[in-house]
Amino acid sequence: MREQMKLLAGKFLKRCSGDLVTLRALVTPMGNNVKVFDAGVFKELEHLAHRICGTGASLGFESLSTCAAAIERLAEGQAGAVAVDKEVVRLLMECVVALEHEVDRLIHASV
Amino acid sequence: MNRTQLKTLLYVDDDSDIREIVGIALGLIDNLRVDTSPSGEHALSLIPTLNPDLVLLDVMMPGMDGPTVLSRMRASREQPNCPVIFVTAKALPREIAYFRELGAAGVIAKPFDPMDLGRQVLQIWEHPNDP
Repeated sequence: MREQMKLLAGKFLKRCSGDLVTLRALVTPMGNNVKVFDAGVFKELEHLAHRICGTGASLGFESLSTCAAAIERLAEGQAGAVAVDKEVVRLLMECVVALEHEVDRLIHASV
Repeated sequence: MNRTQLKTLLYVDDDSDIREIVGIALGLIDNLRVDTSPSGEHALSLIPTLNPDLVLLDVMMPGMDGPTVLSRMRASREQPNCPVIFVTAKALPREIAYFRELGAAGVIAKPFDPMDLGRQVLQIWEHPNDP
């Protein structure tokens, strides 16, 4: 079982790299133009981060899961908002960068 | 044990990684066949054929969520009494109470330890509705 979980962990980290591209693509436009607000973007951020957080924790990647949980909480906190909060976008980008570093670190550690 | 041996289980979750983890983790239980499904709609179409002893449902899924799947199961002719366990990150006491009110036999909190998942499932299977 441990061997199977190790293989799965590798696959998960690879998938995370792809998810991070999506996360960054969702957050960056909000930082560039604060007038654009799309509640669906926060829903998608929340869903992606929720998935990374849950799977990461079950695979033992606690620090990665913590970074994703921070994104999930920030996105969830925007439910019902009507305009982009610059500070939230700044914090989201910080969390995305932290998650990217964590995924890179784990990928290099597993090689 | 107050039930027969658990032989077939259906796990429903939109996250393919979690489905794989659950498949590996529950594969450790002797003589248990584990089937998985990526959505509530798909699960409902499988249940009449698979006739599972137990269904494990993720709560937050795009499309049909776990509680809706449970209510559809209860309203259906096939397996209306099949026990259901919710597997969810929403596992605060009031949320667990809500899921039990809906008719869940138990709730397993996410994230779960894969090494312990089989024990948790069997515990609920053998003692459903224990707090």
